[in-house]
Amino acid sequence: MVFNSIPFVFFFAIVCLLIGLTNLPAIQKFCGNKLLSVRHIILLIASYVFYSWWDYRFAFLMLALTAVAYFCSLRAEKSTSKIPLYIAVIVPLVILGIFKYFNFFIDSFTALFGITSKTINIILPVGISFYTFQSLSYTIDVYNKKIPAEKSFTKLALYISFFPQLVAGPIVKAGDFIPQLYQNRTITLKNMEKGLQFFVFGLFKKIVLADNISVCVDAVFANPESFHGVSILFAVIGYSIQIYCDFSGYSDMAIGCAKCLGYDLEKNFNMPYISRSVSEFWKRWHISLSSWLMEYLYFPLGGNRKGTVRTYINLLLTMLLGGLWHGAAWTFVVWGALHGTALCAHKLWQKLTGHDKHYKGTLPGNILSGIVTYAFVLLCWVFFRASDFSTAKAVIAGIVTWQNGILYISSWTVLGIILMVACTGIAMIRSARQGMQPTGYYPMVKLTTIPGLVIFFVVLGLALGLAYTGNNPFIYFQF
Amino acid sequence: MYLVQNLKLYGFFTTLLRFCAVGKNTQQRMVYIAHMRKYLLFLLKVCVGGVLALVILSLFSLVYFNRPEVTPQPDQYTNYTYRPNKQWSDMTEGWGFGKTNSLGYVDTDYAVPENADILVLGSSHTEALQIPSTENFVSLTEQLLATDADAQNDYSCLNLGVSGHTFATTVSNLPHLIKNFDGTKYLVIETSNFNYSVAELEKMLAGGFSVETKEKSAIYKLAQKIPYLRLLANQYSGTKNDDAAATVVSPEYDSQAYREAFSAVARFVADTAKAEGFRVIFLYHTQNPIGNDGSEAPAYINEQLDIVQSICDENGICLINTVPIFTEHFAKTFEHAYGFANTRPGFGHLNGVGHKLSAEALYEAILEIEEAE
Repeated sequence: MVFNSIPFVFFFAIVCLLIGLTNLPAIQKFCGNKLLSVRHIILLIASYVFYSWWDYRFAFLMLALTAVAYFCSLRAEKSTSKIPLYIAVIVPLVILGIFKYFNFFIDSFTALFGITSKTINIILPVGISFYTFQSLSYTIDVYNKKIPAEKSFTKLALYISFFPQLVAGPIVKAGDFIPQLYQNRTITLKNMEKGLQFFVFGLFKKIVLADNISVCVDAVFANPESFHGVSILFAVIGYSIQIYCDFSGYSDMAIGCAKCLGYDLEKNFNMPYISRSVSEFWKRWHISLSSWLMEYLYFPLGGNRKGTVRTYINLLLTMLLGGLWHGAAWTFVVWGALHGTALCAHKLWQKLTGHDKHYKGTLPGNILSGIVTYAFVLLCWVFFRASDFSTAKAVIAGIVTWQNGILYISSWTVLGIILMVACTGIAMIRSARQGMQPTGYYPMVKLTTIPGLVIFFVVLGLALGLAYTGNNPFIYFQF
Repeated sequence: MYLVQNLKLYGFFTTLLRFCAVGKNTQQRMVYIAHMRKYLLFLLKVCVGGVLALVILSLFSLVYFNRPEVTPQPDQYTNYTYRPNKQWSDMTEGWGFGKTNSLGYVDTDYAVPENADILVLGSSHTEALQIPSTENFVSLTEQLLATDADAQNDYSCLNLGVSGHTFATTVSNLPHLIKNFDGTKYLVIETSNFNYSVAELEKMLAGGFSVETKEKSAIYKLAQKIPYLRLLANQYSGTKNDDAAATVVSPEYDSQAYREAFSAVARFVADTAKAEGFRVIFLYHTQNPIGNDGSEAPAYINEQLDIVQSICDENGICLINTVPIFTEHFAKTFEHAYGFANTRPGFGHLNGVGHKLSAEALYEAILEIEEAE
């Protein structure tokens, strides 16, 4: 079940109805002080139904991971022993390793030593990387005394399985979400007003822009040798828009769904393509993952506290693992390595020029660094999208040599570029007027006024009317 | 904002229940009525907003997707036509626009269409809703014949192509067609597929193929009158490119049986047309996805095409195979005959290049026939 499907509309309507029923005075009276628990149980059941829609067997896997996190964190809180922590960290990582990386390592090993070996057909559970990371961060936070161990199994299970963000993020920290479960959060018109708009914006990004652009990107990446250099360049630019609209669209829909139900999830993207450096890019792209990697990988490795060389090694290692997190393929490792190297280079540049992270720069300098950063990010996306190195090489060679071939500039890519530039421009002008840092363009309207309702229905109508109707799953589901 | 901030979703219904339960307490009733009025006002706003949005979306749809309404024609030579003399526009694949003629086809109007010199029957490729109506291969052929000094005749070409009409449908409908036209010189049948089973070929002869034109419900008919709802119906009906299915040689393919069955079909077509003095031309094309070496490669090597060629020769039918023409053009220019900037290159319907090449091929074939005679 995906957000842009009819079953999800019915599913979500039923969940909203059930949660809405708990607002009735009679039900509230009946539930008494168990009201929040009732709502949590409804949401928990809904989350497991949502997850089981793909494959019910993996719901047991998620339940097992939750149980490990629950018991280990309770134990870790009470004792000074590190064993519960080790169990809580190793078990999810082993499960993740088996499901996601087993074949990759076997293949790589056999290829390295020229051995022939069979791989096992393992189905990758949807969203395993996301809920594994949530489970890990929870136990580590409990061990580090950042948060108390959750006594209620239902609440912890709901934190790990909360369906809006279960399969493709954002990766929510326990300290941000679990406290919300102690508050009286429910469906209200105010929440619905905001949540529905977030959802529709996300839907538009996904089914109109990302999916339609994917047709061009898939065609070019399937056979880059056939296309003209300009076509390949536009396909790579198209991919940068596609992956942004796909993933940020999903995140918006997740934030919107959660908001409708009364819960707040943190924003996962903040206009990443206006970044002036790769460091800034990672503060704007997949924010929940980059902050997770920083907090639970980069800092424990020593961060920047152990000297310059160790800082670079830590950065590189973090990004390599970040790349591997995205998928079990060497192209993802290279993608991570490129980003890691760029982060190191940026750190070195800052050191040499004496510019710290608060340095504002000049307008021409900012524009130039923005263009250079975007070009670098594009180069990295080639490795991220390509199925193998030969495809990545063909794509890059096609652009560099400006090869002759099919001239194909997708009108959807052009539309995507226009919309991205327009929305970014509006957001920057708005923020400049308000004297604030740009935080994205989400034109929220008042759904209690006729103009607001007209705009909302028109955007929804356009999303449905222009949607790509072929099958095109969310890119980040595979991770 | 009061409404949004202070009222819960269940408000209207609980207020209604309370109103019913309050009995004769007039003062209390008035309070509940005031509450309900706010909710009803909100619902009214939703309705007004919805209607206004529908109007805006329909205006957008007039440009983006405004195919004319379909009129079923169970006893005609095509199973349906569009509403006559209607402007249309379609940007879902390429960008086509134009006006239907008085017969309800995507073509220009002729004073006496029944006396057209060249009749072109075919599928959505002939109908060509993906490009301007003056740029489809039928119009282009007419333009070539009209402007070329070598051409002996200023022929009128009538486009009778409609989506979903395959070679099988066209053959099935042929007897209906013949009796409706007079003085026609050429009958062109466009097809992207000759790959039929023996049973299907026999069914064609019995007139058994027709496009389903069920009587639609009143709601469907009403929805067809609103451009935006028509766009939604097209989006989610799953009928896009229904006639562009890939052809695959059946594993049970028996070339001798196929030869005999197709021979009967070709004879039927030739005899039916000859009786009215028509010359028959088959215009064959097929999608050529990009091959791994970067060149266009046919989806499969169609042994049947050789059989079709020999049978056509035997029956005096001119077969135009555009596959080598498209392939050669691609090798020279890297231009595909199929696909558009808003779809995938090499897939889908014939594009401007495909129509131009088809028109040139058809024009050449007609000139050759004229010269031979």
